[in-house]
Amino acid sequence: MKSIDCKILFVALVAFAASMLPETARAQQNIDKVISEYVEASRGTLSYRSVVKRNPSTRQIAKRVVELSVDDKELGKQLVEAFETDRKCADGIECTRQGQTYICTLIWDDPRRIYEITVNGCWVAYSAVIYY
Amino acid sequence: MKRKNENIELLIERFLDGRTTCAEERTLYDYFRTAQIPAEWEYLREAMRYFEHGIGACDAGVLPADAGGGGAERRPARQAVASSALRRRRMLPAVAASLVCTLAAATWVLLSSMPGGGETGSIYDGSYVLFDGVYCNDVDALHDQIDIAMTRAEIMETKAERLLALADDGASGVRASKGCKR
Repeated sequence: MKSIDCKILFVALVAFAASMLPETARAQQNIDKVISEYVEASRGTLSYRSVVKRNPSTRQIAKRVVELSVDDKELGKQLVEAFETDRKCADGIECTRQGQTYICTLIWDDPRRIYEITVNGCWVAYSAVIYY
Repeated sequence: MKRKNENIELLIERFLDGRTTCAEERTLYDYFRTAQIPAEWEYLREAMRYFEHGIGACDAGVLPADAGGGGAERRPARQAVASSALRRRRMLPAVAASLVCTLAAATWVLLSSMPGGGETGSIYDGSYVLFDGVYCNDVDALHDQIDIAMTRAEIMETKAERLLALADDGASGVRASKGCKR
């Protein structure tokens, strides 16, 4: 009984802590989640580039640039949904849709994060610049 | 001279193990009374002087003059000083090694704190590319990929500045361009 009470308390605490996260911390999670799951699962078919730039003095990562391009209609659909969900909280937005082409840029400030996506039919090109 | 030093070294070993005869000890005392001894044995000069003038058990008749150290009773005081001298001698390599390590660590810290000097390998460590199932994280080999990514980042940053400036202006409809549903 005591162990069950502890487990319930732990889960409740985690849920409470998660609900207290600032909106910006949760906002990009849809986009980040789709990308990380896809890269993990589809190593054989995509072109993925992750470049970090470090502070020369501290050697800490100052900026990360991620680029992904792949021919995957399902990924395109998931990313469009993620962008449309996350844009509600973005500090800067520019999205256009023309026929089968969807281009969207979302920006969060402090810390700055820039996400950009181009979906053209089955073709998906995703870029992100993340500052730390 | 070299042969004499080798003999002295042997005697020192036996002395520190407590196996010297009185005659051998006198030889050592005479030797360490001279001014010119190798620097590595200087630390033993005081110990020898102590034993020569301090205990003097040979003269007191405790041990026969030419008795070996095997059957005779060991002298506790000499053992303590000998152990100290032996410890010091054994510590020398450890002290030298720790000095070397300290210097190496200081050099590493100094070099780490210096600017990267534009070398790709230092500030882009952690970068990687995954292409057609092939993973590559050799920063030197990824020079071109890194340049492409950084150029792309500059373009995106310029666009972001423009969009944020528009958003800050607060003009109506500036947050989304034509065709984008809210």
